[in-house]
This record gives sequence, C-alpha cells and structure tokens, in this order.
Amino acid sequence: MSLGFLIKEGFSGLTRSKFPSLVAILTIAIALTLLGLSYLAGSEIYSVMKRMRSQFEIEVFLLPNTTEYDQGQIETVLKQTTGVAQYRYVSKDEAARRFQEEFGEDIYSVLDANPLPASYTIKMDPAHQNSSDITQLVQRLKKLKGVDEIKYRQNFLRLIERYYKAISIAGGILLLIILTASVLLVGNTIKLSIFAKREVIHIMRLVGATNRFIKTPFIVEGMLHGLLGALMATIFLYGILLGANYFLSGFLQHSFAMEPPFFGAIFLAGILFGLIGSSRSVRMFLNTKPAVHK
Amino acid sequence: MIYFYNVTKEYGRGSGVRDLNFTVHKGEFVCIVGASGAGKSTILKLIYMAEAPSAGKVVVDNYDSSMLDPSQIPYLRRRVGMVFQDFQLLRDRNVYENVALALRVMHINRREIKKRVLHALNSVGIGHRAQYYPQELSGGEQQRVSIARAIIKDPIVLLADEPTGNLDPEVAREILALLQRIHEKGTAVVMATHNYNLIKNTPFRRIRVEDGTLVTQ
Repeated sequence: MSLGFLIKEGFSGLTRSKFPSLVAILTIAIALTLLGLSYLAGSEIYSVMKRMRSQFEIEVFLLPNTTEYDQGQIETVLKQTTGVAQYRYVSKDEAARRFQEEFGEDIYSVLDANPLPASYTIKMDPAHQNSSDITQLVQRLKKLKGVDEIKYRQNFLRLIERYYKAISIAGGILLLIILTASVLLVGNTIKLSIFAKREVIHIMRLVGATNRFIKTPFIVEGMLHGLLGALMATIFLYGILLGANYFLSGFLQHSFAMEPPFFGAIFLAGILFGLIGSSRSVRMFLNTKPAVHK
Repeated sequence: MIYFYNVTKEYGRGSGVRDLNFTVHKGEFVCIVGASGAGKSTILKLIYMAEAPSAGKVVVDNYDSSMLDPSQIPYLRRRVGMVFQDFQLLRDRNVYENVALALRVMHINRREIKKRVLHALNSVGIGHRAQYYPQELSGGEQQRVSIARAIIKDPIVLLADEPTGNLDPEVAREILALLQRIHEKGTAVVMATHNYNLIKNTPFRRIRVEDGTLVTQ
C-alpha cells in the first residue's frame, strides 16, 4: 500500500463530505472565474490600447522642390533617431492614389496638377510614444531643408500619456486585489472543509497514523476540489466568452479567443489552490497539541 | 512495561497530576479509580503520550517521554490500544472500515486486514454488524467496535478511559467481562473509572487517585 489506498481515500473524501466539498469546489470555481474574467478584461484593454498606439503616426510633408539630397538628409536623421520604429516615403503619386482610395475621386479629374505633397510616415516604438521624444524629433526634422509641415495627433498622444500608465497600474492593483481575495476565500473555505473533518484527523492520530498518512488524502482531495473547480470555471468562462462574442460582436472589431494556454492556466491555478490550501490547512490541524479526546 | 517516575503534569490552577510513581507490569489488569477531575484521564494521556509530563518521565515499552521525538508517537500508539467513553468512531465509515483503520495506518495488506478485522469483530461479538455504521448501533455495540479496533493490533496494553461511562449497568458489566477476557489472553489492561461498584468484586489491582495524587495502589 498504500499510496493507492491514500489516493482512494482522497476520492472518497469527496463523497463522504458532499456539502463541504461542493462549497469548496464552487468557491474555487467562482474565484477562478473572477480571476479569468479580470485577466480577459485586462488583456482586452491592453490590446485595444496597443492597437491604438500602433495606429499613431507622424506625417512629415515635403516642399515641392525637395531634392533627393534633402530626402537623404531626412532619412539619415530618421535612421539615427532612437525610437523611430519605421518610416515610409509616400510620393506625390502615391498620395494621389491614396486620395482616390479614400475619397473615390481622381484628383487629376478635378485639378490639372497634383497638389498633394510627398511625405514621410513615421511610426514610433511604444516606449518612445511620448511628447518629449516626439517634440525632439519634430524639432530636428523642422530644421532640415525640404521639410514643410509635420502633423501628428497631439491630443491622442496626451491621452495615451495620461491614461496608459494609470490604467496599467489600476489594472495591476485590481488583479492583485482579486487574486488576494480569491486566495483568502479559497484558503478559508478549504480550512472550513478540513475543520469539518477534524474528528477524522483526531481519530487517525489516536490509532497511530503518521502525519504523512493523514495529510495525503486531504491533499488529494484538495487537488480534486481544485480540478473540479477549474473545470466548472472553464465552463463558466467558455459560456461567458461565447455570450460576449455573440452579443458584443457589433461593438468589438474582433472576437475573444478561446486560447488553450488560458484554460491550461485556469486548471493549473485550480490545482495549486487546492494543493496549497489543503496542505496548509491540514498542517495547521496537525500542528495543534497532540491528540486529546473529549 | 509502563513506568511512572515522579511524574507531574500541570494544567494551571492546580489541576493535573503530581508526583506519580507506579508501574504496570506485563499482562496486568489495573483499575485507576477516582472521582471526575481527579486526574485519571491525564494518567492515560500520559501513557499514550497525548500529554508530556511537566516533570518526571513516563516509559512505555521502549518509549521514554523524556527523550521521545514527536514523530515517534504514532509508532507508540500502534503498540497501545485505546478505548474511550465516547467510543471515538468515525461516523462516515462502517464498522469494518473503522476497525480496519487501525491496521491500514500500519500499511498491512488488504487480505491480512480482512482476516484480522473479521476475527476481531467476532471476538468481541459484533461480527454480524460489520457493514453497519456506528450511529446504527447501540452504545454497547459501539463500545465493542472500539474495543475491536483497539485489540486488532495486538497491543501490549489496552487503555480504557471510562469505557462504561455511557452505558447502562448491564451493558457495562458485559463490557467489563469482555475486557477481562482480553486480559486473560495476555493483554495488559489499564482501565480508568469513577464507578467503584463496577470493579469492587474484581480481583484487579486498584490505583486510587484523588486531586491528582495517588492515594493507594
């Protein structure tokens, strides 16, 4: 024996104390669902912000008489500036093509000549998407020959600067609070379910069971609680995601992904909850005074 | 086999036991008699080492309380059978499982466990109740189950703490007779009781405890 017996005992624990087991499983399921939802909400906000930031561009319009040498000077500055993720030259002809794409009208049919200037479109690294770096770059470019006007969405930049950090910090704190609350809630529920079995621990000690013999079934049972709680949380989350994809498809440009690693993490967290919660709680009961009756 | 050397156990406010010296020999039947709160249960707890002496030492078989590592206590308890007034049976397991538990903790194989459990249950006259749950049995029957659990591991001593305390006089006499039969087969028995009438006609050695001290032995 007797690992088989001890594991079987762990499974029997589920049926022997149905109500405390059910409460423990439900608590773990709710905690994991909350954690899963806050993770999903956080990553959704993060990806929306990332998408918004990736759309941020600086446009450098060139004067009509800009020479190739001037362009070379501009490109040298862009290459040398840290924080410039990529840049692209947009010729007058391409600008005309874009105009047609956007407004559906050929510029040459309205005007005799193409008045649209050539330009550079610059994308910054997210880490350098801030006023000071961008102002510095703009100042350098403005001094160069051939540069006419530089445009970027200043308000948007300010918005990102102001809220990105705040949202990241608030999200982190919120996740930490939910995680702490979940751990405490699950820990206490497991403690209560083991407290309901203190008689078993007490009698096992009287008949000469070692601590390991007493602990193992509780840990197996705790892990089972975690596994079943995770299974339930997966079902909840899957349902919530399906519902969100169905009802929010009009508002969101994409659908929530049902990623296996996410559900894997839910299962792992569930098992860890059960494992750590039960071993801590049973140790607490074993560390009390030696077994006494009455 | 069991030695008390100047044993004192204090719980505060003057309760506990003081300066106990006595020996229980192999195969002996000893009754510890005294009023409630006199210290009878404390003496038994000191034997199965649920309590450690505040002074002095208790030696049971090869286990010496003054040198005992707590991890050794389970092994001592496998050598000592215990019976309590409130039976201490697990209500979510049937009679068979309750008795088998004493062997399972010793990692004995299933076939051997089955043989010994059925034998123990029959020897205490409760073989026909193997599949019952404790709450389906009378007090006397539950005490028999608890005795079966205590003797199944062939202990060197059977400790009985008020084993008849919850039973009516007739059943109490039956339980005492059962303990006597176990003793006749060679197991030492230490029984704590406040019921002097129950044991007054038995030939066993009596240790009288009053306010935590031995009065006669």
